[in-house]
Amino acid sequence: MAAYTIHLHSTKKLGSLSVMTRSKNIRSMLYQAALLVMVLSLGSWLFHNLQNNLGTLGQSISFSALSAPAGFPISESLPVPLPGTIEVCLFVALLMGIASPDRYFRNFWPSRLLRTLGLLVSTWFCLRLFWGEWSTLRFVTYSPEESYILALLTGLLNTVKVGITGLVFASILGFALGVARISVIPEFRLAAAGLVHTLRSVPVLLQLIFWYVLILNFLPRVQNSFSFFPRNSESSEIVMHSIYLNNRGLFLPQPNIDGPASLWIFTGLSVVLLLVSGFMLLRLRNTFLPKGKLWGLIPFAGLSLCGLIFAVGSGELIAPTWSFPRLTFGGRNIASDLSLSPEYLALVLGLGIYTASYIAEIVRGGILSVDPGQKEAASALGLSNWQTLKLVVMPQAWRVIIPPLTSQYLNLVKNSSLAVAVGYPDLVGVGGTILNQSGRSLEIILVWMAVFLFLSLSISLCLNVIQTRQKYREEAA
Amino acid sequence: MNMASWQRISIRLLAALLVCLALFPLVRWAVWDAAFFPITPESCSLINSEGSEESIRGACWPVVFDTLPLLLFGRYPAEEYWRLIFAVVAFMGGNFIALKGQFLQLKLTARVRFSTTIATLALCTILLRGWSDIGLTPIESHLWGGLMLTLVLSVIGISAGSVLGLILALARRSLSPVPRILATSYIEVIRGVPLITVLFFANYLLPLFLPASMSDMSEFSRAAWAIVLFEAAYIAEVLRAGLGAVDPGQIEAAKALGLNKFQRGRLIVLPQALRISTPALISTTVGLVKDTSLVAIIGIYDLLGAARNVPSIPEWIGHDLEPLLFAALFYIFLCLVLDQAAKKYELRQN
Repeated sequence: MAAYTIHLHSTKKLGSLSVMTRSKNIRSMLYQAALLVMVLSLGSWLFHNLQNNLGTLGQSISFSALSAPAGFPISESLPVPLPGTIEVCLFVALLMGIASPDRYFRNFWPSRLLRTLGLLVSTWFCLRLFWGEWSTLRFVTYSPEESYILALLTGLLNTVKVGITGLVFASILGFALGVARISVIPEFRLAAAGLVHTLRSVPVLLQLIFWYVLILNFLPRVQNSFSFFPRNSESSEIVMHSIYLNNRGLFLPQPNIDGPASLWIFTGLSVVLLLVSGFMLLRLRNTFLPKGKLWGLIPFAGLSLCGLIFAVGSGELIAPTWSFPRLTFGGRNIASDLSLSPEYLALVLGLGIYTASYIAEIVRGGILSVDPGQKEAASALGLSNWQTLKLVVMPQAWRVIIPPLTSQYLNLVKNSSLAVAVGYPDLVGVGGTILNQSGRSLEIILVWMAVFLFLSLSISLCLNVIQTRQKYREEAA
Repeated sequence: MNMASWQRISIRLLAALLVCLALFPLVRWAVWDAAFFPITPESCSLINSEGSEESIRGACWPVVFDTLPLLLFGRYPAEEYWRLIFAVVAFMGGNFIALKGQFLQLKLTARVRFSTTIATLALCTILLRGWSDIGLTPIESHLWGGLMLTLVLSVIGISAGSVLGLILALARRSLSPVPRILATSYIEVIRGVPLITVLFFANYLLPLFLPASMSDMSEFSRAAWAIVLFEAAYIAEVLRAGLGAVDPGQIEAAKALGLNKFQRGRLIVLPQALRISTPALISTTVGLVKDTSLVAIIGIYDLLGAARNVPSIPEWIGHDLEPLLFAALFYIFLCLVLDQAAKKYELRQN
């Protein structure tokens, strides 16, 4: 009992450091040192084994081996943007401006400066893209002569492509399913509940393979494709259409971009930035910028607007012509500039639907967490069902929805690595090919893990920034 | 709902019609147009008016009936199936006695329950792997497969993962910086990468990290290691939340009673933390059961791997969808059982 009293006193920092606590501290430090030594020796043992084993295989750990030419084709390759040093620096500055830690530095002048700088720098970034001759940004399309690194980057770009479209698709479908689960119509409730429970119980890999098999086996062949939007064809024998869907994929018309590509990118970015700044001015006044700092938007919006006017005024932006999918060999083959492969479709469908079933439950939980009195009050005020949902329920539900929603987004990005099962060339798929071809398993697996860790950590960082800002807004209100 | 009743009825009818329209093609394919018996490839094709053979429009279920042993037991020798069935019965029986002994008028202490579970797992291992000393032919793990492999991997994942996860959770909650930082970085790294990369890691790199004498592991044990190491991080987070949710008053009361640190942990904190985190642990198990399907990618024939392998059997070429749907039914059943268990447990807690 006496020992216990001494311990209590010491933790409350009332008396001097007692003999008891000192010996406890020393013991704890000894334990920790022992643990550290154990872990370090385990690590060095593993590393030693690795070097021995690699030595017998005649290999060593080297990432420079990844700059050798790849030599294998990749079925879907977007042009990879390779930024120069300047672009990288600007991008980092922009990120720092956006993600400066509010929690500690909210009213600290360097933080404000950084944020404003971030906005200015982003505008400069756009301008540099616009002035093609200044830009050090290059777009490289993969071919078998290029290096393993470019192959991996192409794979990463494919992962990002699937990730973004999957996120949008999953969000829309998940939201619809979640609202249907608490719909006033019992049939919808029942159907949505059945669907959600079934989809959640089946492994995502099985679902991916299911959609892939379904697309390959159950969609018609090219001769009998589903076709939409007929148009006048040059050869009168076959009626050409704008969109085709068959077991070789979805074929879409593509706008032909005339003029320098960077100009189009710049214009697109300007339009997006203008829309974003307008939206921020109107709706999210205090979310992304602290109150009274709206002037930070003015150079941002103004410069984008100037650039847009200049780009349009210089006459280099010409209305795009469209290149349509073409049936060849009397309708037995199809050629197109823009097509979505069966692998990609299966992946987006499978990942999107699986994640949507989780998002549905999150949305449902978020909506149910709102006090029912709020809904009653809204209907007493004469708001319609939709207005109640939009104006009263959802703004309150978001707070509950956002954290688990982000973790589902993270899961979707991580699950996109299952693309390898349907043969879509994502980061893991391309890496697997390299791994089999060159035997560089250690390097490839480390690259995978690093990339996915980076993606996960950056998505959770974004969430933390949003949550912290929201908390401040609530505290301020 | 502030709507006239005729509006309401017509909307409901429309909704029901929509649901039926969506279900109709599925039912037609799976039941109406489908072939069931006899179990021969011929029952899945019919002679059309031109006298040539074409496949039927509906599902071909004989493929599933014919390959049922493959889907359930993999390439496990048929004369030893009794061992698998006996193992399942022993597993369920042993765990029933350990968890629900009160139904059999048994009053068991925690220690007896724990040893019952361990003994059950040991018995199942012996039954599956065989032991030549007592007359059970040893069966190599590369012959295991199908549903049985999925269940084995899940049980290994949840039991070994829980042990490792508990250690990680305790280390992460420790006040000393060294174990806390080590555990936190392990957990966050594992949770940040997809399981498939961990599986590739175990498959390609684990043998490289071990001395030559230890590195000839079977594919199965590499996959099991990957699943255990991966799931431990997730289980650790669940247990950490449970440990954090134990009322601090309980610990203070235990201190006042003079219990030392280990007694407090074993008698007061852990039992309550486990009780709190059981529903979350069950939903982690659901995720684990689904995650085991990923071993199909590194070439192990679990339930999904076996289902994908069926169309490569010469007489059943081209029938991809039926075995997949059959496998899906098993996963749905397993998850349904686990979900119901979690729900029941939560209801009883409240």
